Amino acid sequence: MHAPNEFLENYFPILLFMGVAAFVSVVPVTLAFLRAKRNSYAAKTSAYECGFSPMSDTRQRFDIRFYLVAILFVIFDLEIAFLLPWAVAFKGMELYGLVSMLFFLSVLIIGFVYEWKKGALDWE
Amino acid sequence: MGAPIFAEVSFVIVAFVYLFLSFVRDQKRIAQLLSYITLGILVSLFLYFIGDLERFIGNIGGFFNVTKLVMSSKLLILFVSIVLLSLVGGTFFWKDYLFARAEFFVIFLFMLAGSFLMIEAFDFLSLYLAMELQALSLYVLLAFKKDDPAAIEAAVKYFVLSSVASGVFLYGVSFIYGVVGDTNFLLVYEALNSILSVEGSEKTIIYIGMALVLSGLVFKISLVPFHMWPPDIYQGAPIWVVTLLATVSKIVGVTVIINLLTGPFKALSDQWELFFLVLGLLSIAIGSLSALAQNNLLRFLGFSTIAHMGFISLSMAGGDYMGLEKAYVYLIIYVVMILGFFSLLMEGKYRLKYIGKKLENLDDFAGFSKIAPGMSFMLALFLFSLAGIPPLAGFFAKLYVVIVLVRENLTVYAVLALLFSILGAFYYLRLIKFMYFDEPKDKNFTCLEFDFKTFIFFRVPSLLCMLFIIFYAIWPNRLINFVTFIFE
Repeated sequence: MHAPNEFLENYFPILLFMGVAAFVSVVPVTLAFLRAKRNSYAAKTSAYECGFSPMSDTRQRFDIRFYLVAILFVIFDLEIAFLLPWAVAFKGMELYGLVSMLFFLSVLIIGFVYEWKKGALDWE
Repeated sequence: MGAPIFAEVSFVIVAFVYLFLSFVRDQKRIAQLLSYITLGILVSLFLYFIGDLERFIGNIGGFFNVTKLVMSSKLLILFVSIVLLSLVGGTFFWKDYLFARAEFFVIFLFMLAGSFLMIEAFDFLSLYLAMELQALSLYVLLAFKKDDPAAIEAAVKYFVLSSVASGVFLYGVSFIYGVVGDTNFLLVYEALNSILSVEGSEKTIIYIGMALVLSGLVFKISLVPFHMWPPDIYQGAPIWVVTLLATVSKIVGVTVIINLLTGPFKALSDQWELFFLVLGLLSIAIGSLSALAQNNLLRFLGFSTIAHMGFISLSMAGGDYMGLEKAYVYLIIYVVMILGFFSLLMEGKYRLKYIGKKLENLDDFAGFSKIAPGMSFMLALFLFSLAGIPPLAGFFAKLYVVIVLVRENLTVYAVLALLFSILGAFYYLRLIKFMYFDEPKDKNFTCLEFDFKTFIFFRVPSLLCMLFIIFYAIWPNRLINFVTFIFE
């Protein structure tokens, strides 16, 4: 419960943050624009697109396996993101924490075995 | 410990076992086997639950809370799922192997687990997680027919709209969390109660939060500003999935909304009564008016769903407990009607497909009473009930809503709702006119013969639903007393 003014005051750090963000993003670009030497050629100005040609039809088909690998990556990346704080707080949780994490990992492993067996990892 | 959610846990564990059966070569036989096993699990759960409703009541860690209302919704969902599995068996019998894969049952069980967790959620976070589990399974089920452009279009539409709706829901939760500092229903209820008794500027934020949360949920039951999806999706998606969306999804949506209204938002009843009053009237108006112009049967059912959900919403607008009770009665009657109607429709589709005809547009029903007299009679009964013709259950459902509105001094809204539903009666009666008063397009038609297996898979569920809507008028108090009992 706050009075109206006090309520807005809570948002002051956000305003400050937006100001700093604007400063940090605008100043280097402006400085580079004003001060840097320009010497551009085709390869340097083209966008970098991990392995694809940047100038082609956007409706190009790409292999579904790229997508599958990306999904797998995200799942196991998240697993790590859960495991780290769990490991840090492990002492306070005792058996309950261990069993919960084992359940979580076993669910992931079942999913992984399913994907493996279905041939999602075969690159042929 | 843990007993209140043992059904959900067993669904998930069974689903993991099923996952490994998807490696077997002969998926058709596996799917048939799994449909029987799943049916057995659901029937035994149903019998176990119906024995003693109050046995499973309890709270789990402040995240889930099982009440009598939750148990009765679970029973309703189990009944619907048993019928749905019987319909799946029917599709296998008619050599439609769209769902003949072990993964289908895995996803179906996940959908059930998500629905159960959603209705018993007692915290905005667990509600959101369960909602996503259910929605993800629904996206996959909608996209099951992956070589049909219409089905894919329906799936993508549902995916995009549902994601936006859950985003809106989360946004609303963030407002409430910002004011209250917690997401538990009980704590939110207590905090809102004390905040509302003090004068201050945060009331507006609470109202915005509540409106956003309810908007995200109202999407699931397709009330008017969020009503664009049912017609398109009903038309495009496989009919079995449409049946699922029209029944389970609606039960879950209405139960969750009732949970919220009697729980965290109880102190805000003046605000949400207005919310549901406006949405309900608009839904009845737009649903009835748009259905008039439709020629595709499923599309027309999509619009009729909107109108029916409008009645539930109007009933919620009418007062704290009586209105919500009557909304729940309406929900039960509606689900039984639409379930019986859809099982008949699936039977008709498969049987006519077998003799080389289709059942898609309203005029495909021309002379249907001569081709299939029994089926047309039952369809006509369900249509009369949906339109609200007196001796059938649909009439009583509407009657209770009107009584609630009149008691709450909202007579104008009751009159308007009735006027629109008279308009709505036209399109139900038009289908009956096609069936009974028109000649078949094809002059040398043949009458459909009795088929025992089709009878078991499709007709028995629809007969059960029909018995309910006919005999409801004799013992109306049974259901009313039951609903009063679960709401007390």
